Amino acid sequence: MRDEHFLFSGSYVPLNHGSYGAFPAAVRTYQRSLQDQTESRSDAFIRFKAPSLLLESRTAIAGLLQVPRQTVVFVPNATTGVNTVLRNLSWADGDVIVYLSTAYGACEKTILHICETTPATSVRIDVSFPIEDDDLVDLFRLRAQGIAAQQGKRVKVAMFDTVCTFPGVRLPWEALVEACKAEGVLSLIDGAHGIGHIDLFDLGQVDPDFFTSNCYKWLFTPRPCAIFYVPTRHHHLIRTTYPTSHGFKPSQERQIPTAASSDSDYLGELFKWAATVDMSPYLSTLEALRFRSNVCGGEAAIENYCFDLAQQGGKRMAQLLETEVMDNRNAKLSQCCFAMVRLPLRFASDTVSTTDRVMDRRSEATRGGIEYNQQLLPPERGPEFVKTIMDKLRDEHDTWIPMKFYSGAIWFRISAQVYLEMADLEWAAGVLSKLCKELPGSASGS
Amino acid sequence: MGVVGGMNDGTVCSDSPVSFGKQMRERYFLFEKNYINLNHGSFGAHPLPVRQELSRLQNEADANPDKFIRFTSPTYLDTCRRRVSEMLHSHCDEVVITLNATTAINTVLRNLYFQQGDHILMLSCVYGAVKKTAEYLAETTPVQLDEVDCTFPVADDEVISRFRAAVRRHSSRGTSIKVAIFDTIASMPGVRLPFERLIEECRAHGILSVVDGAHGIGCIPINLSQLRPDFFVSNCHKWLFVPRSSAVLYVPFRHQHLIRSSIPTSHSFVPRSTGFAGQRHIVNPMLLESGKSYFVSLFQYTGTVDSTPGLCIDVALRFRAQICGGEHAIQRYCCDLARRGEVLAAGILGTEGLAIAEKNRVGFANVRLPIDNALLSSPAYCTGDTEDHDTVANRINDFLHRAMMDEYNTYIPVIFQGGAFWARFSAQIYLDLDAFAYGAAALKELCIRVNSCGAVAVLGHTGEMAGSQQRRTTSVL
Repeated sequence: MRDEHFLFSGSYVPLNHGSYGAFPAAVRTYQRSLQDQTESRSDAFIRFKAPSLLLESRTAIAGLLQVPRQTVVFVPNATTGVNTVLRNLSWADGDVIVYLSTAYGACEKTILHICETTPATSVRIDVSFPIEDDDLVDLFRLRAQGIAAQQGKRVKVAMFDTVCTFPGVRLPWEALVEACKAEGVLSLIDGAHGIGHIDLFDLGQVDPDFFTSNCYKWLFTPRPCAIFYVPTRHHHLIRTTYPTSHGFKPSQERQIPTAASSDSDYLGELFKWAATVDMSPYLSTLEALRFRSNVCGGEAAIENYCFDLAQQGGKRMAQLLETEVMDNRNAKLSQCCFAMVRLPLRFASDTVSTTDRVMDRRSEATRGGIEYNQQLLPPERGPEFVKTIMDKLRDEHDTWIPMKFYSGAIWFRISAQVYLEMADLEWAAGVLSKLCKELPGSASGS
Repeated sequence: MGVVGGMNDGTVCSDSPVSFGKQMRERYFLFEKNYINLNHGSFGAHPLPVRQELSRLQNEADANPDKFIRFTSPTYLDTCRRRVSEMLHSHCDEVVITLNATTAINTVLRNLYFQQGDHILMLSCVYGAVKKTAEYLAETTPVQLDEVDCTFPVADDEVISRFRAAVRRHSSRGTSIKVAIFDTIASMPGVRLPFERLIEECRAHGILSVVDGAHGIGCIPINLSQLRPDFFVSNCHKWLFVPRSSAVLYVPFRHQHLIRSSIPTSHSFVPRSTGFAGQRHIVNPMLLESGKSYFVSLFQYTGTVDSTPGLCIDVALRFRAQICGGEHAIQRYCCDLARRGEVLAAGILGTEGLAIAEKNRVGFANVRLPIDNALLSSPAYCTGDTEDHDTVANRINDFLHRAMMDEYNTYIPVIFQGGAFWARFSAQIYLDLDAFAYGAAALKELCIRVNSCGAVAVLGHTGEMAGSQQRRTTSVL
């Protein structure tokens, strides 16, 4: 699959699909043909052909998500989707934005900027993984209720991922949306890792208030391409794109559709043009879906393969490294295309770390394992070791694996994909094992 | 007009000079054989060597996305920033690359704080999306809007005079003009504005000048160290032969503290509240290099986009220098062709060009169309008694644009302003007078049909184009 259909350089081992995605040659060829058409007759393509192609792509995505086309538009990326929601909402004194500590950095920064420039304030709920789904939902509800109980405060919006960036774990986002409804809070779902990654056929049923997801990540479209979903009942809240462009109508001209006027495409008209950009990534969506269906066997087949590889591959890597995967008791966190595995480095810690909690639950692997350093490493060197290993992965092994010193250990994230096999993950485990041994301060290192 | 040289980097080798006009088009541009591109001003165009560079960069990104996005593209970006800042005569760290002028203007305006009494002053020829940005701000912040009429033709002195009158008006009312937005070159019609003098007026009255140079770099010489605007933006994909889309945002050092966040906010944003305990835990996956200023690092990454168009700036500039003979040669050819093309087109159409001072001519020809204004009230084109002329005119323009494309394989934007229909032709190095003659002949025939109400056959009762999928916006320029 990799050699036949994808565009990676020969020596590169693509273990980090999660960051920037990748797309097959068929999609690139299609995209280039769109770019050729654009250069060949620019006004003809941009003004007269692209709009109908855009509609087709929206229709296809709407079909995948089982939502009305009028509720789905394209934006460049999920960060833009999140910014679009948060910057369109009006913020009054007492409004609180709630989010988890695992929120994507740029989204958290957006919230902080909003709090600098409007009356809104924010509450960051510290979450340490692994955590049980129910516990997470309970934690959110408790905190939300606690805020609402304070004089003059109300939780206006809560932001959650579908699958977090780091650690790469699936959140019980459906239950969190439900909890938001119970608490009277608007749910903003940052599904950056969403479409093409987890099953979203129930999006309409789950019914979040706002949802955005990157297509360039897991749907095999070129960069940049994301979808932005807003149910009709909230269209009146979204007045402008970012940047504001031709689709904006001043309030006296704006006609927000009620549910009854179903042939209106308010959101579509607004987002049809958001300043001059190369729209070919959006317009390549259909081709990406075609590839996934015809060559890969469809969404379910892809999801099964990737989940399986992530779960089996994660276990295998943990076995080779003699460590463990990150998961909760109900094995819900790992219901995604990421494998989170610990590096065999023990750090000194006087608090119960993730490592200890996970190790407590390990039933099979040798407790205490053969770690690569007999003495405990100082935790303040964790980030430095992360950088050393990641630099070497890039410079000496032509790959890239995101990792982080998290809860007292170094955890790395592997992205499973249709162009990977178990052998690739086994290879990575071998490389990581070697790099751990080479670290200064480890038993066999200098 | 012959030019010398080939690009000495192996991308393109030209042993013999390539003339502007048909030869340049055949050799270096990517248009379909029979397509006459008379609308460079809207979406620009880029030559083959730039296209090759774009593909090369995109291939590099696809071969190893992490390496390209995290490590190599920032280096390319710095080179392009340096090259473009040299061309604009600004310091390298006062210039960042963004996606387009609209994004750049939105970034500036949304970072400013507006209080009760503050106004944004615009010229009436302001670009549609910029006006809409201001309108949105007027809805969501205390700022109010004001406008200076700039219906063309209008002499430079008159524009300045009206601007001053607006300043005086606010002064006497006790309100303030916080920001004035004006173009270097208005879009429709395409006319150079006295922006240098407007910048000086702003400076004299303590008004922040936001110069929309969407039509700027590569079209006219820009010297920011002399002009010293407060903010300046320009599209590289319009007149600089850079692919869509790429623009520069210039913020002089003295104002960089005002730009707190990119739009959207991204990793390099540093929140003010130092007391926030969680800050140190916010992961910044885009390595913030030491030595880069906050302003520069803010725009190095603003969410995952396709940065490759902007990374072609270097190759585009080398093409212009080595194959085209340099900026002066290109700009002189374009102005010259526009001037002669305007005379030719007006002759064919039996009308006249827009009366502007020659110093305000750039690579645009603005020619009046011989459309009978009485049609604006005619039942052939109106759907109701009280329909305003602009709406009816837009309907006629829609017909012209569509028919031009379908039947003549060209596109010349038309606008109804100052009581007449004006067609804007863009001159470029891949064109010659034949192209202008062709465009004018096409327009002439279509205007005859409009005048004889022949267009009514393609207009349904709603006034919309029969068979059209959706309303096309004529404001997309």
